[in-house]
Amino acid sequence: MTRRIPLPSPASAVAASALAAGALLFGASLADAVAQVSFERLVNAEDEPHNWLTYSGNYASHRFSALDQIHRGNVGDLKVLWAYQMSGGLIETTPIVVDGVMYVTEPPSNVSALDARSGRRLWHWSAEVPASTKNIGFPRVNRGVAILGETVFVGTLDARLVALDARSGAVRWEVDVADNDLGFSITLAPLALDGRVIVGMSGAEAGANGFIDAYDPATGERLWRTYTIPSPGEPGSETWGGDSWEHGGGSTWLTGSYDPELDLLYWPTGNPAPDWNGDARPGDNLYTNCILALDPDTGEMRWWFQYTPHDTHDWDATEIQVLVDAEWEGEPRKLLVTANRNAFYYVLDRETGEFLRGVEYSKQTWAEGLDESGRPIVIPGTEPTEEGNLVWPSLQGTANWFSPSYSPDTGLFYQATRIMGAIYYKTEVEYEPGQPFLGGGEQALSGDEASGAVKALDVLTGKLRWEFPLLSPPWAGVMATRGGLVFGGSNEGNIFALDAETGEPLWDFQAGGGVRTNPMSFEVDGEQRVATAAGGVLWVFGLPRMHAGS
Amino acid sequence: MRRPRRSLCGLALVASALAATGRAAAAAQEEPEVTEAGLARGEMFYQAHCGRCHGMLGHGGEGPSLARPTLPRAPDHASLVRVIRRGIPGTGMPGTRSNLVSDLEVGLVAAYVRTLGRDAVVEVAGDAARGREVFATAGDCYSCHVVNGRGTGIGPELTGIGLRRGVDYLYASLRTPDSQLPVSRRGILRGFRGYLPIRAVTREGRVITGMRVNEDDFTIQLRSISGRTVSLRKEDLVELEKQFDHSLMPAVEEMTEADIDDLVAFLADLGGGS
Repeated sequence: MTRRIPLPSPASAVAASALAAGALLFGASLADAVAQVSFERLVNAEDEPHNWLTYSGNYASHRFSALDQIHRGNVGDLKVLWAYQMSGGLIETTPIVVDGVMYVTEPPSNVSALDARSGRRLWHWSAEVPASTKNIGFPRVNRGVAILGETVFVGTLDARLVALDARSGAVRWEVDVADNDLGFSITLAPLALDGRVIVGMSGAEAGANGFIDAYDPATGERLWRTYTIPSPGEPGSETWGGDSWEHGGGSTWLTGSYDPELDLLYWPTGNPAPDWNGDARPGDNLYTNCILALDPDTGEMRWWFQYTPHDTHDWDATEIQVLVDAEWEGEPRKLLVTANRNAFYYVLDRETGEFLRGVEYSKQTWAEGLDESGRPIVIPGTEPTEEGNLVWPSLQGTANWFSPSYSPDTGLFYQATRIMGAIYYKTEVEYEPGQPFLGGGEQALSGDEASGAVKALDVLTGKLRWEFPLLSPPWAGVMATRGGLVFGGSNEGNIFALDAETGEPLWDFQAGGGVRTNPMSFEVDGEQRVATAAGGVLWVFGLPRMHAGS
Repeated sequence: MRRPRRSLCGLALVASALAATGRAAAAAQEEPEVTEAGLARGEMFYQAHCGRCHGMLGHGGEGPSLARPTLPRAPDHASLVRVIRRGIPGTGMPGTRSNLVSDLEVGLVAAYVRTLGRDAVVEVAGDAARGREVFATAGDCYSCHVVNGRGTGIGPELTGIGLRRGVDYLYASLRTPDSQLPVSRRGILRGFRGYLPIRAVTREGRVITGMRVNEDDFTIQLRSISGRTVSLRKEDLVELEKQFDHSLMPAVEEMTEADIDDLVAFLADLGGGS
């Protein structure tokens, strides 16, 4: 039987027909999109700004959108075009968009494919993470997927890596990366390279030792594993007292960056374990709180730089490492820059790892500065104590997992910054498998005693150009666009756009729930969209005039 | 156990004493035996984690006095352990994370806290019944506060205030209210100062004052002294002043010392306190 379906009223016929016409084009592009997201497309992601192909938008981790349809002059008109209600839990995901399809993770580790025009689901895959899954030292979150070829890759809270068919969400393969009973977990978005998928792990708060893994995207076979904590006899093992290396931590829980020209993979590492009691691990505790430059074919370490040696404040270096090509003292140079959790902004040479510059970019009370080699000059008496010791920044640091953004247009590095101190405590601790291995904790200053800011730093000098004040220390990242805007969010539910040159607020939207993710941008039917999550909802904004099809 | 463990100084006896009564959280009503060293350890943890609110001597402050023979919310050791571990939802009393203080140490803190009531019970000088009269008449307190359903909800509700605040804090709230802005523990701007006086000036030069009710990066919501809600966008303001050292609560300058003593006695009694 055929049923004639009544269509929407004439009032919306124009919009409906416009949508229908778009849908034909869209249907065609959808089929093409699923065909291939080749490594070449990922390398040249900047050539297709209508898509968002990797966690940070490109391999250099700029989180910059070259779309400029939404700009200073019209951003004030931004409206919600659609919203997608997610399964319960904290949302820290960045969607991937490929030619009209959005691939997004939902708490704790589920994946949905959405029609990027309407927000309607195309498929959903549940990771079926058991309720008993351990998440020691972090919430039950996921930050996104990677895509390569016709496959979407997701890491799960219970430490699996799963490959899903991009068309249907069907499982192609699934491997156990590590044992969640020991505290291992995956919350990051994997990084897809040429013929390999890279993942890192969480677990240092359970005394689990960190590693970076590469898997064959076709089969799930593990190609290499590089541990962040050296075994006795290996280089760096002299930086651990006694057998403390056995549960030395050094997680690898945030997505790294990649330079296809140098063919180097850059992956940051986290804190040593136990976090707040360093007594049993005298030494620098390599390779914790480092940036590692790895050969993506073998996992071999080419160079390393340690931001915070012998850390006792839980200042993981797992912040986004941004790759910038710029002129340095008259010579073109390949740089790696990062705003570290320890309150210093760093500029390194990413070919050699040479330290070029480091400056304080937010309030800190633990170091007098950095010496010529980039090593912090630690102020004595700033370690955690049994009685408590007030130090800036708090253990969550001035930066954390949430992303910075680099705009090649302004030459500015944008960082949502937490301005917060904490009373640090040290306690006794003994390692027990799969249990918290912390040795202390903190009581953070809160309320009116803490604050935040979106800071715009000169990418080469780290000098503050402007800052936009935030009521409380943020958990949301930022994205700059070619439209001269910086998008961000606040704990109080504000989603906003600032002028990238001046920091002046140009648009804001109260989403009714805290923003705890990074914005991204894409295009559907030739119209720019901006997406970010707040509360339990993924919000997608655009200009209403264009949405109406007029 | 591969990792050498530093022993907790002098706690072996205590550990076995607690172990003998089962897990600390499920300990029976009877008091565990605690050594002097154990109590000293409990005192150290008390001062590090509890003293800021309950006072270094336990006589109360922003939190209630613990120097009383029976704690209203924790009459025995087991219930005190439970309160220390889990906190009291909706109040300023947080739970204690196990990475900061172990079960053993919570047991020692509880044991130490229970010695406070035996030593020096905080005496309240005034007459609570007379304080009730002062509250209604000379103090005119119902014009801003609700107690047991009566009054006006401009300032904090004081029903049960005796359970939440120490006597010293109550005295200070009356004599120097400017130094005693409470921290919000409810769902709105949790952790921020509550009843914060705000002075805003609009682009048109209009001066608006009131207490902060809520705030985000672009807006602020005030309640005026008359109880009216005012919603402002920050971009419409030329000045926004947060008066952290000011309270809209008037100081009780015209009251006698006896009035104040009685008022404190009345307040300390609210919620079955003192």
